[in-house]
Amino acid sequence: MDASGGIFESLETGTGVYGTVLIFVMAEGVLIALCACWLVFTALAASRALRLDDAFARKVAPGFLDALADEDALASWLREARRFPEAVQRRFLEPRIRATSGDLNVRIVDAYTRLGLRSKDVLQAESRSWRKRIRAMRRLVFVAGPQHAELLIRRSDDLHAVRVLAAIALGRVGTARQVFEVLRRLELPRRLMEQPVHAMLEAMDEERLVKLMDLWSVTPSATVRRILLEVAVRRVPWLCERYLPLAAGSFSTEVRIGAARSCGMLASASSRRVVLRLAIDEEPQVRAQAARSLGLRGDYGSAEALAGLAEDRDFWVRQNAAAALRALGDTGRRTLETLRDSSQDDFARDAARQELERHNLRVDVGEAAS
Amino acid sequence: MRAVLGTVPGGAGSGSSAAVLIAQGDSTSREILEHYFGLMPWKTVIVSNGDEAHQHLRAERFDVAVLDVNLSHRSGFDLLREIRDDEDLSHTRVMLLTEDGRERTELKAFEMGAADFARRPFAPAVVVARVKRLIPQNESPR
Repeated sequence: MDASGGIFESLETGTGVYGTVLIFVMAEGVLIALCACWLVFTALAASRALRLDDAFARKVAPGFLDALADEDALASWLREARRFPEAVQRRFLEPRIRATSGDLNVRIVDAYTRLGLRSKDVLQAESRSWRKRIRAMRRLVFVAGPQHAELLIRRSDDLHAVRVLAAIALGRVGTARQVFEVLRRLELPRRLMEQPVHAMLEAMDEERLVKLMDLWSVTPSATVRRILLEVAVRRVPWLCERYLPLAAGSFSTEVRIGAARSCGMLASASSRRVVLRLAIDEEPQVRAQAARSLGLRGDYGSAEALAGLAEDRDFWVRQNAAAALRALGDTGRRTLETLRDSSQDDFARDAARQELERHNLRVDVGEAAS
Repeated sequence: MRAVLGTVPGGAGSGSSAAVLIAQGDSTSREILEHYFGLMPWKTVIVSNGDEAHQHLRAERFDVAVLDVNLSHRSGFDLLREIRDDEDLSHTRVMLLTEDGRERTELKAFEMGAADFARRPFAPAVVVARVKRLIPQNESPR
């Protein structure tokens, strides 16, 4: 039987291999046709969006910044803007909101709100679709007001991406008590989960951060207390002096690590006493951070304490102590040389030698470059 | 007179012959700065990439250059280095205005000789005020 005869026979009976192949080919054809239709449709949509953006840029956009300063002009501008689809309004306003701060930003967000765009974001933030929720939260990070704090608190139990965005927005608009309510419920078993807390605290202004620190000692999670202390020491260092002795005496290793790190950002005598106390802590992680902080403080009087830490039984404590000594300049270098030449501890001699070699290498590279 | 938001007090009349170069990669920032600097009595040139900024710096004399760190072709740091290394350009004071608000970027800017550093998002009236402070007070007529 020849091949062509086989195909026709299969087609006639509707069974067999050739019939199946033919069905696949036809299905593929339909799929290709659908793809082509979709491409044409998206190309037309993109072209229409471009045309509308272009028309908006020509007819409405030029008077925008001037209109913001005058109520009547703004009302007229909003009327013009409403003639365009919502997507065009968003494409125009969103980059301007993201690029600005201060009074101008407040006025642009006001225009955004009066166009009804913020209300739609609030509705979308409660949508069942996670894509819509993420999209809405991305906008609310910039346009949410204090009245949306409750919504943001609800969203802090959502997917990770939504949680991060809700945390940033809440840090910007929530009260210290509202932020605390979110922090109180948090459990952070892994370091990778700390990001929303950092994002929220970094978005807070100084005044609210000070109020939040009043609740530091009643914050249940030790990890959250550590993060709070580390953020606060950069933003409101004067306030942290009060919390350092408490943190250094905490039963939690996490909190003591936070205290040890924070001491590196301060220069006061009281913080020096705290970091020297943490340098003899029973936990090696705390001692390692204390050694690092002693180097950051650049206090020449710390050379002796660091020499002791360079002979510690823990590798990271020795490494951090040697690096901290190098940061102390000539005094530290001399201490490192003494350790290298006359320490009874093999590990301390190694750490000092490696650090001096690293230092010499950097000096050589620096001289070669200059 | 046009009503404006956040007008810099005493803006008009001071340093009226000053020239400012603004190089920003982001079109929204360019548009906003163009509007606000347009209200000042300065000659303002706005460009979108490092090469254009370089050409203008070579061709004209600017008192202040407001540079984005992440410019295409030549970065803000490249331009800053050129300005500091070239005696003909060294009178130009540089302010870096960037989205990269990391501490080390700011530190690097000042170490390389930037006169000021501002982060995006920015309040345009504040940027204008800071640039005004960088313009020499006894500006000779051009």
